[in-house]
Amino acid sequence: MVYLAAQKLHHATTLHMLRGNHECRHLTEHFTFRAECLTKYSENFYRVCMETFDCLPIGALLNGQFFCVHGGISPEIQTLADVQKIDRFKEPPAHGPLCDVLWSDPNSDFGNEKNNDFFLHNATRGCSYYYTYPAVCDFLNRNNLLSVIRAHEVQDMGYKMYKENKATGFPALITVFSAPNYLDVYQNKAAILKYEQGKMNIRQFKNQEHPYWLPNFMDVLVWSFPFVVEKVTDLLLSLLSVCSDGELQEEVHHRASVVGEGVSYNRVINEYEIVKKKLEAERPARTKSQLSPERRQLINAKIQAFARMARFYDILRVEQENVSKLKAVSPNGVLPLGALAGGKDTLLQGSTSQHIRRLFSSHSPLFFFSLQP
Amino acid sequence: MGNRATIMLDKKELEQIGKESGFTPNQIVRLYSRFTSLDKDNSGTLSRADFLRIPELAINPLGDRIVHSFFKNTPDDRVNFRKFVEILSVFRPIQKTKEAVLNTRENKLRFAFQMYDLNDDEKVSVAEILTVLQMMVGVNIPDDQLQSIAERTLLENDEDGDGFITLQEFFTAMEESDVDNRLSLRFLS
Repeated sequence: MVYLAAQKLHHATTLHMLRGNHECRHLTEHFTFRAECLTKYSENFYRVCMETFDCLPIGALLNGQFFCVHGGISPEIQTLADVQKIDRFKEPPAHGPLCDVLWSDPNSDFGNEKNNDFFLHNATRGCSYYYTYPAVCDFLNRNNLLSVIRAHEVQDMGYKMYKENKATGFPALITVFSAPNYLDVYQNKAAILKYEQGKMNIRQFKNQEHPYWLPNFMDVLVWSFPFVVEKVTDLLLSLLSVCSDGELQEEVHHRASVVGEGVSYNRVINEYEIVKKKLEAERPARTKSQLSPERRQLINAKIQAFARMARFYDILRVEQENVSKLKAVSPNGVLPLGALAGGKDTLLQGSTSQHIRRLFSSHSPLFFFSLQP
Repeated sequence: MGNRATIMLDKKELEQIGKESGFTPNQIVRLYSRFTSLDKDNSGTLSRADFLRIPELAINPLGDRIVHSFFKNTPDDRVNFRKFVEILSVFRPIQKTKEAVLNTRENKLRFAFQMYDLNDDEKVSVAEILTVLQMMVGVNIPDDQLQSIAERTLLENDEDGDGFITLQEFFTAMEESDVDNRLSLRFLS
């Protein structure tokens, strides 16, 4: 916007811009222009842009021959004087000549119409009209013009020449579309029309790659902030995981991956000690030999499980670097099951093995933890 | 190991630290318990090694920075309990009813700023922003694209045009963001 305004200031009498249907409050609010203005500038800037649009001329006469307009002709416009009579300094209304010149389209079978209708309701746009070949020829002949040059519809080749006006032998209508790969979807070429010394030249061009943008006009600080916050709070939470006295008495099958809490080396050892004491306290009278084989097995299993956990943390601490490397290459950021248990060797291999998997098949709840950052 | 806490801190110290930081006595006791479990050599202070022993730190890309922010400006490169509590108190949630002591929005943002400011010169350069971005997105976005958005961000936010983002400029950039809730931890009491 600012660039165009600067160009206009620089070439006030030789550069002219025509208003299109998007240059209004209605569409800039519906699409993203208003949002962009508010994000990057201010409500005031947006207001000024809208007022500028209100001032844009709606039509131009090129070399006395070509009627240039964004959309097309209107049933309420017979002569060029009718165009000049329109009060353009406002938001385009939903109907009427100001709406039509910005919104109308040629009929789909322009030049091959079966009857002699001039204007049909435009269902595509939901407003204004389709104009027909007879309608355009009628307008051109009445006003002694060669052709209507307009835009408003994407063209695959960037331009389209329609059926010739019998009276002149020149296309009655030309569409020029100068935005390549429109909406990043249409993959169209764009074109500009160059009219010099009575000759009309058409130049086509393709699109350029966008510079990389973050969604919602975010800047990088705002974008990266949640990441930074997450890492900081994660670490501080793990620093702070202190259990209350009640929690210390909890049963052995305590999942390490409690949301929001880290598990530390010391806590594991703590719990191990507590559980061991508790188990011994539970059966004060019995000696080891009086424990049933199942009970004994269970206790052994628990003790082994804790020993394994403790070993994990040891390995993790010692093999920090290999762990990070391994995590970086793993598909979901999680260490493969068993990698830690095997110690340095499995970490280096980066793979699990049957043997290690078997180690983990029992006492599974304890090992349902992932070392996700 | 866990219950030494109540023995080592006396009531007066508790009160003092509570006033400075805004923590309740229970919260301070729990923090002390954690502090002592980190303090392997029972010296009453924490060294960098004590922090680095925490497993989660190894896998946290900002781990070093976070430890660094604890040790910034500390005597002999060791953190005592007061300092420990001071830093953590920044992360107390901002309560509407109570006046913020250390857990002001500015302090929270200042902590975040330190995460970006890798060379501690109180300013963030394009290179520093880029480093954080690379940590964040890994290989998902090519470097030249990251470079261009980092440069654009600098242009947009660098009000005095010195090519760096200062703390003040960072505050302005973060005006809209929901710092208060995000950089807050719920401390168990």
